[in-house]
Amino acid sequence: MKNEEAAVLIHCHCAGLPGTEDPRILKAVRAAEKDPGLQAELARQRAFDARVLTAVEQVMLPQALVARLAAGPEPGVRALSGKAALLQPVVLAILIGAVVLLGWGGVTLWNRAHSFSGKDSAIRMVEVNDEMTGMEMEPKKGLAGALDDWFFDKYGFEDYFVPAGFENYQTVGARLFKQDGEPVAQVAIEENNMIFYSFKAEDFGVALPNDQWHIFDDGEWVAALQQRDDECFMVAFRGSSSDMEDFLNKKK
Amino acid sequence: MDLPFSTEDLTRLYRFALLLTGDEGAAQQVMYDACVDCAARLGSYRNEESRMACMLGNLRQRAKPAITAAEGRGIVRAFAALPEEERAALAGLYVGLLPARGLAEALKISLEQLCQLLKSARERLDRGGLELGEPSLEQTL
Repeated sequence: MKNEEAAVLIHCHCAGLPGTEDPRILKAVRAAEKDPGLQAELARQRAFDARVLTAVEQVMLPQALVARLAAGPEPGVRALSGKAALLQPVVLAILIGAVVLLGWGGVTLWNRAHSFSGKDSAIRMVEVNDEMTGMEMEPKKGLAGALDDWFFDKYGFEDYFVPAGFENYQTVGARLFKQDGEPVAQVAIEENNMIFYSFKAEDFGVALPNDQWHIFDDGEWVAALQQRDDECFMVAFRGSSSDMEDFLNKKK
Repeated sequence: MDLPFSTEDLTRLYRFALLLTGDEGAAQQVMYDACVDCAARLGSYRNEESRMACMLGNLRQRAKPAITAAEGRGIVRAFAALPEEERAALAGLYVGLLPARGLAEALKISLEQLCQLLKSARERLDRGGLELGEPSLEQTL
């Protein structure tokens, strides 16, 4: 061992404590004992340690503490701190269970608040947009509110319905497609690449109070649906629920 | 309380607590709390060194100096003047519960860092003892 290393490691040596020396420390001590430069420092350290150890070893274990330790934890003494109490396995299990229940309850309530009869069918109508190339629609320029005759003449569809505030949007294309064997009128709008849908409420099990909007997201699409008697109207575009809320608020 | 320590080990642990806190009452409370806290865990350690390291770590975490360097007497007063890291290192060495490498691990430092801390602690303690007018540190509580 080099003397420089020994000069550092001898500080971990304490002569009065046999059995607590590491082999590396003992090696350093042996090297220091042979080195004239380190011998004096080692001797000083040993003398100092001996004085301190004499003082330290006079400290004895108080009998009162021995009795307390023998008696075991005192009732109420094992009061855990807030953090320690929270980390107890039983408490952790209860907390995790409570969080899961709250989450599940929250999701259920949210779904109930945002769900409605026929929503699955409405979502599938919106999903159709992702599979379309644009060629499916027949070019049709005009006002959205003026297509009822066109749908009747061309498809015999009598339930085309566009609510107030949506009649004057310029259309670029339209078609009627069947979902689960029931007709759905679909109109492409020039502005904001919106899509309008119109269908009979009972065909898809929709049962909503009149004129109330129900907004839902589906991927990058957001849609809002409302019912008037037995007819439904739905508008969809790419965006978020807040975009749709802003859009509908401007219609009021 | 079922503790896997001999009376000699408990005495050494108490000395460690006393040198860290500087006060007999505080040391007893810290020691008691550490034993209560560690009792359940100690059985899961596979060797004596790990049990000791657990206790030393717990005692160190709980021990707050209960006196200042101006209070207390003798060895306790001298230790109270040391910075916490040096106090823990030197107290750990003198109570003789762990070999140097084990002590370094319990204090979460390297062996070389422990050597440096012990060197500076001894120097400070030596100087402090003289400045405090205590030519001998053998004065005890």
